[in-house]
Amino acid sequence: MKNFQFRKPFSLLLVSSLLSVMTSYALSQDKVDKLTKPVHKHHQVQITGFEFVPNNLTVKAGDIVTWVNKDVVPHNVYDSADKKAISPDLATGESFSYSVPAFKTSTTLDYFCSFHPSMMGKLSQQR
Amino acid sequence: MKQFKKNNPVTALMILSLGIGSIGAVALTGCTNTSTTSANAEKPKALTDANIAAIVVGANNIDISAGKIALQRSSNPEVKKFAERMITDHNAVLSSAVKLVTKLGVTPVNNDLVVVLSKQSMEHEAKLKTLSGRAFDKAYIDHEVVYHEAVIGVIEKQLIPSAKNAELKQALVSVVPAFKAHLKHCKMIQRTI
Ligand SMILES: [Cu+2]
Repeated sequence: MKNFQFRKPFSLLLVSSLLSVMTSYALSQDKVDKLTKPVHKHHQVQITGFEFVPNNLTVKAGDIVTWVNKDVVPHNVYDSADKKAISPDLATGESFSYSVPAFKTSTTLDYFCSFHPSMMGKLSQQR
Repeated sequence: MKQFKKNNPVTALMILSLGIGSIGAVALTGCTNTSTTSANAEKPKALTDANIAAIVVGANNIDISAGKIALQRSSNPEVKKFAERMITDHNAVLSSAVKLVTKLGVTPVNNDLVVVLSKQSMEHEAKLKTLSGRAFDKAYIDHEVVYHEAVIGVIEKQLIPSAKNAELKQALVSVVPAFKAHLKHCKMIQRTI
């Protein structure tokens, strides 16, 4: 108790100054973000009934796409062009978020589930 | 088997439910024909929810069992990947079905269809165990195509319309896409063998 009382004024001072620094930083950073950063949208693709819903999603570079597996079986998301994994294997209820890059060679990114090749979807980017 | 023509109006599920044909015969009767308006069609016996539970459990187990044989005997990577998927997916569907019927307090009760399916499965497996190489892959995949077509027909035309419990009916509806995706998958492989 003695120690505590002795330290109290110091800790209070420390906390209040930290708070004020954080608050002012948060506010100013928020303003800066609004002025300088583009708005990145978050999109969700449900994996349900062995389909990607929506099947075709229009996105911008920097957007976040989250795939959510609602089926009782595992699924995944693979790039149709290079056959490489975009997501890890997703068990029931698992999800994966992907930051969309700028598409270079095409306006779409076609993808599929490597477990179930009939499951296909695409992300489209406007030029 | 040979007397069945592609345009035979008798549908796969009727053969299955009447227990007069082998699953091989089903292949030649055009199970893609979804018509049920055959004049000489006999009305299938009413299925209870307990029967439906037994059919779902049996149908999944049969495909898991065949998949395990394929994993052992095939050396085709696409066939093995497919077999692995059948084991994983049908196990998942099976366990969610078992969970549901347990929750609903339904105890599976076998009926004629389960008996026919099991008998055909045993015959098919005995045949598979004598084959290897491309002959094995072809026999396994050809049968997977026919089997998934037949099971989709049974679920859509018999199980869903017969199901009394709404949750069971909904579960049957939601299981169809799995069988359809598997059907497309094995048809893709079938073209390469
Ligand atoms: Cu999948």
